[in-house]
Amino acid sequence: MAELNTNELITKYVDCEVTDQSELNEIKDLIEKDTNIKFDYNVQLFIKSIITERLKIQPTPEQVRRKVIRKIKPSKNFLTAFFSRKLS
Amino acid sequence: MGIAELNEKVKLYSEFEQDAIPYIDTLYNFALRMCGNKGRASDLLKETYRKAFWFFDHLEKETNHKMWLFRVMRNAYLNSYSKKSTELNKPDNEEVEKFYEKIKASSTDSSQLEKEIHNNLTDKELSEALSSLPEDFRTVIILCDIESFNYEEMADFVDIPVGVVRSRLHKGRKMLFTKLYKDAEKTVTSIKNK
Repeated sequence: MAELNTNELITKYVDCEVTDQSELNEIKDLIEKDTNIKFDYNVQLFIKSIITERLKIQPTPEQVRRKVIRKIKPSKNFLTAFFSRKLS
Repeated sequence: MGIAELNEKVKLYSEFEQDAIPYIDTLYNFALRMCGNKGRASDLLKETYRKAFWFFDHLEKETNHKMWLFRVMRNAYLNSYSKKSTELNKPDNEEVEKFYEKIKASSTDSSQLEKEIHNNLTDKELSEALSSLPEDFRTVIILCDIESFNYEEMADFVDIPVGVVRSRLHKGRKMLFTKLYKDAEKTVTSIKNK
């Protein structure tokens, strides 16, 4: 645990990346006892939650989706190019 | 182009459609948060799929398509789009740190601050605030908090050690909090002065 600074530990905890139970208990203890650490923890948690809640994945607008597909899908363009070459 | 070549293209497209198109929404959202507006996000998405299709037949079988597409998009963004973005508005790290410590020292309870920000902030303002962060910090926040990547995946994607991912997330969220707090403070002051 000493390898990481407290800031990084809090972030790791907020992101549910702490798997070791003793490390988990130690972080919880730090947050409970130290008001500065508690403040940092609340800030990290708050920003993570507000982004997750407010900026949800939204579907690609249909028009954009069509444009993307039109740009790559081999369709009339290839056939037109093929036949016009044959004709010329 | 001969018939055989055309058939090859159609076959390739059918594979691409199966492996790459399902990620279109995820990529569109990444583009939207990176660019900050729908027009540029759409252009970036088109550019990404065009490049991805171009290189698709050179991919190895075991390639993680989602990760690969994200990489193509990020490279396209870094090559052309980031230059046009508001990199000039980069927040001063030292200034952010000072302001953050000031807020911390003056508040015994952060829940009141959070409430103020939460109540006054629109989704558009939040999106703009996120877009104003430097690219390094913005990328990890988007990947972690919107796209739900874990640390290992982010480290692999951005090609940095896990420790750097952690540190960028911590600093990035602090920067964002400071910015939102400053904006909320301005709003409260302007309401009071009316």
